[in-house]
Amino acid sequence: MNTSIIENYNADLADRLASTPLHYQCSGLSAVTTMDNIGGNWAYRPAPIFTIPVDARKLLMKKPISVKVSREDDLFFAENETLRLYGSGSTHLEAIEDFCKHLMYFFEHYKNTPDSKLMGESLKLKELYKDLFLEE
Amino acid sequence: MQVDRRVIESSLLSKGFEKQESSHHTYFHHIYVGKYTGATTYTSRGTKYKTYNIGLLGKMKKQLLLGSTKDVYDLCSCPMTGEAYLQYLKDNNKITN
Amino acid sequence: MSNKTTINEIYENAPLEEVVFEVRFPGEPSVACNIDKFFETIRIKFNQVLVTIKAPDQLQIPELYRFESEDSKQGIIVGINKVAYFTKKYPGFKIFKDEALDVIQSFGKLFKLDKLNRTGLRYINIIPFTREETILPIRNYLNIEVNLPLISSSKFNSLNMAFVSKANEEGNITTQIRTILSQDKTREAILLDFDYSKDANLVINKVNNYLEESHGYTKELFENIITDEYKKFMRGEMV
Repeated sequence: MNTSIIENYNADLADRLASTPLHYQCSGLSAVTTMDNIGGNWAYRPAPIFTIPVDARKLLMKKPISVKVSREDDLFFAENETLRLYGSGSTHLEAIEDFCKHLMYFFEHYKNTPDSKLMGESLKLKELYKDLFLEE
Repeated sequence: MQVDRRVIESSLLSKGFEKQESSHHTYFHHIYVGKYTGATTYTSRGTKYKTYNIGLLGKMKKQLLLGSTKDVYDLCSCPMTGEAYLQYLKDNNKITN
Repeated sequence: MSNKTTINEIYENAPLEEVVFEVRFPGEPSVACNIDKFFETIRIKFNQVLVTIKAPDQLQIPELYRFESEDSKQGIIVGINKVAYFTKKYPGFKIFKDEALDVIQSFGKLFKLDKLNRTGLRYINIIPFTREETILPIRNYLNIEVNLPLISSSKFNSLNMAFVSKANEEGNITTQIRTILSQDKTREAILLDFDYSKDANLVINKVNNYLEESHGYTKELFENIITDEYKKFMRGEMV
């Protein structure tokens, strides 16, 4: 999904809010709000993923997965360090979508691989992936 | 610092990694004595991924259980051999049950 | 929905971005002439001085003075009819209250304030979210529901709502809930902005009570509007 679509949603909303029918004026909110000139860059925080779309279903996470989204040059990344996963794409939405695909791949991989075929770090990862979802 | 995707893929295959394909990605799992070690990474198809630059190589660092992007570069191009990589994993206690 | 036992919980990943407490009073020109005296009382902690000027190339008295800490995370804003204390690293209400009242009361004493026109306590929360396909999954984050014929909040792509409501007998609350996109386009978030204000029969020596009342109401509103699912994330219960 192109980020410009999101910008269009917001622009459409802003247009509607700014437009008032002829012969009317906006009564709107009370004009007085506390310190109107608050602003500045908001601190970085990760976003949670609560569900993963799979085919026509949505898989619910037992605990939300924290995703850190960043940008380097013309690529966006969505990462989770605990799972050692990253997704990438041309927009932040593509990066998250890519992340979800990798998540599902590894979930299936560890579900279908017996412990006897795993060692070291892979056993730890299997434990993490085993408990990811509430239901299938 | 950048490496061609095909070089990455052939390097990993020659250094103890097994390939698994999916519709958009190719996954590489490191195997030792017939078991997965947990060092796993993937490459993506698509024109943006013909070459892996320092940013993309950096993302693979944790997946490959390596300490620096330079180590990733060395593994994915030529300098680090499969034996050296395996020894690195052992020295850093990444291959223990 | 949370009950009162969770009202005092401190969250590891709270979405709170900025908090401001402001009082407004009948215009006092002596503020403009004696701002240096006030600055002397706060200089140690707030030594960065910024001013708001409408036309930079013209000589004029600044409309607002802004005194900030070295790291710009806390500060005081002063005009001839207002003074405010803000912080971007909220230390919990008790400490915030002590710091805000220290500033307001010290200012009030210096400029001999008595009656006030307005008090306002504003909490600005920014809640990063991930879309589910194109949909804004608002119910994962906030306990709000909008149901119109054929339109439901479960199908929203974006949202922009703002309203003023009576909070109780004494105060009003201005609430804004809308989706925002970061400048670098890496993240989307829900802006959740509460502004509790009072504007009738106010005096400087009861500012403590006004602040307590404003906080109590806003905190309860926040605890009830955030979903239990998102609270898990706020507590650090995540992968």
